[in-house]
Amino acid sequence: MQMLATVLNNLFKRPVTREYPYRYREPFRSSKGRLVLDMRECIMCTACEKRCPAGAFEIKRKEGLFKFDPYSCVVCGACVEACPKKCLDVDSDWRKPVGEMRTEIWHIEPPAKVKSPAGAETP
Amino acid sequence: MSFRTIIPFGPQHPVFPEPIQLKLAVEDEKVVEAIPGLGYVHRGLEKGAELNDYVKNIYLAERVCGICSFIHSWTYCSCIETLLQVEVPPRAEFLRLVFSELSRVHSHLLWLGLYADAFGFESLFMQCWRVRERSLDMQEAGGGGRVILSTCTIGGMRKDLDEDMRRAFIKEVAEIRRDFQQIMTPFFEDYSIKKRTVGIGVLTKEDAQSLGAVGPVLRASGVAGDTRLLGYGPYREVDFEPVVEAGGDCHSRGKVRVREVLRALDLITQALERLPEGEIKTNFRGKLNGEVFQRMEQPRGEMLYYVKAGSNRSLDRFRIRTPTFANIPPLLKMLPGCDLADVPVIVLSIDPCISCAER
Amino acid sequence: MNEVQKDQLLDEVQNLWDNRSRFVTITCVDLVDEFDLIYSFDHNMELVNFRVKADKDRPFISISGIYAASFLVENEIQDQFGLKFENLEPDFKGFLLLSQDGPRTPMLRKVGERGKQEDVV
Repeated sequence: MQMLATVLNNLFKRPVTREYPYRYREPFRSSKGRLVLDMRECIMCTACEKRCPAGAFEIKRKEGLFKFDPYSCVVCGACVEACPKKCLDVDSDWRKPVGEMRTEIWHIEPPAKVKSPAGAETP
Repeated sequence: MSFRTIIPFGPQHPVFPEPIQLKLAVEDEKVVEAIPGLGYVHRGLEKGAELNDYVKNIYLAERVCGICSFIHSWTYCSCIETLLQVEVPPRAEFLRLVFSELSRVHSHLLWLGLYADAFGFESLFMQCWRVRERSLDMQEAGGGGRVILSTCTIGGMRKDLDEDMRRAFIKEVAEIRRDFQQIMTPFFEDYSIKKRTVGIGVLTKEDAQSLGAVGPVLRASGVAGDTRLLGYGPYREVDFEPVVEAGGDCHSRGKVRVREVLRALDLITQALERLPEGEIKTNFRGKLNGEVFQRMEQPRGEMLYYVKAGSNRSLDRFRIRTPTFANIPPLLKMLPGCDLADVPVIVLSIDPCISCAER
Repeated sequence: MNEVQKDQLLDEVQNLWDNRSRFVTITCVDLVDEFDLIYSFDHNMELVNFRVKADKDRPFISISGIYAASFLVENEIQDQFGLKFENLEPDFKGFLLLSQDGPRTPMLRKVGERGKQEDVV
């Protein structure tokens, strides 16, 4: 008898689960879904590489090579706080399933004189 | 004439979310001895932490356990804060309390569901997990992730709650409480649940103390041992009283956790209502120095961190003693003398988290 | 933190048992030429710690005769650091956490394992 209210509720309410691929729940505003990179402003300071706990970045400053492996990224947001140019951002939407895991690679013209930004050493 | 048979229980078994093996010596359906076999999910996190930069270890500490991850990061941060002598702003401390109690709510609801499933009450399992989903949604809205939040950092928090969110949280907590109160009575009164759990896996008060039981296992045996009584963080400023039951059996351990969910919801409301204004993070400088022990209360019981600072931004020793590790010896004490059919319920009643125990 | 000599360890632990302290854990720290074992007990919600030095090559005394719960953590130290314990019951012989074909004593410090950061002297 104690379960009666629950039983009636369950009979007449909508189901609490969703049919996922057909009905998609909008993510929360502050939810950490994936890392998006905007490489136009990047100065190759390697602050993100130093801070990343998962080792998802690989930056070769001399060759102008910037590699980001989205599948080892744990979306902690440490690099977003570290970036002096605000190139990195966390998007609230989740990464979609893929058939093949690919590393994102950029080739960037290295700046003439690379200055280590303030605060790159301390968190 | 009774034969002695050894039955391997686990590592893969329907009641275990995680792998542990128990070699049960059985005589005529009665368990006479149990020997644990661990090591199926040993990942060497302690060693990993020694090779890492100490700031990156926050994320490593969080991943020791998927259920109580926030309290792991809080404990680690507070160890480092002690070593660096950083003052944490009061607002950050209260936010940490909110999220740690939220993780307690979701951990206990998860466990209550699994427990209901272990004695074959599947609809109760689904009801518990439905309520749990709301607390996960709160964590995602406030912290950004469902279980691994990454919001706790050295010197404070990385995400603030704005005023709208704070109000919404208070409302949501009240709704979780209402939903949970509707489904919690069977854990106290239902006839078949009592039949399966009362007097099963009894751990006396003396045994609980001498075998070093922690958390709900200790409190269900009538000992008011709760690390939150030490008053770390903001716990000295909120009204808090540990939940204690006297029975020492599986039923009492269930009851402790049901009442702790309500207590945790109460603590969240208290903390949100008196959330102080101000900064959420202080900057820090300096070198790690010395060694520190820090104990905090996980959903599963007392956890101990030992951090010894090394030179040059790394740690000399990082040791985690998780609650499940302490609760395995009491479990081995509970098992002898019980029926083989009761083993799943007894093993589950300590809330085993093997990834925690092996790290 | 107090330091206790190896031969007084069992007396000290027996005292703690008599005043109904709860066993918390043992922490082993590798100091390169010896081990530091830090015993932690809980007495009325207060943490009681003391430190014992252990030689690397000689077996150490187990307290599992007094606190039965300590067998798990002593086995773990035996796995990770290779420090043997006498009279350990049950003794997993160094295979509690590690598998038969896995690495031995992974927690021991090795020279230069942190790259350029730090070298163990």
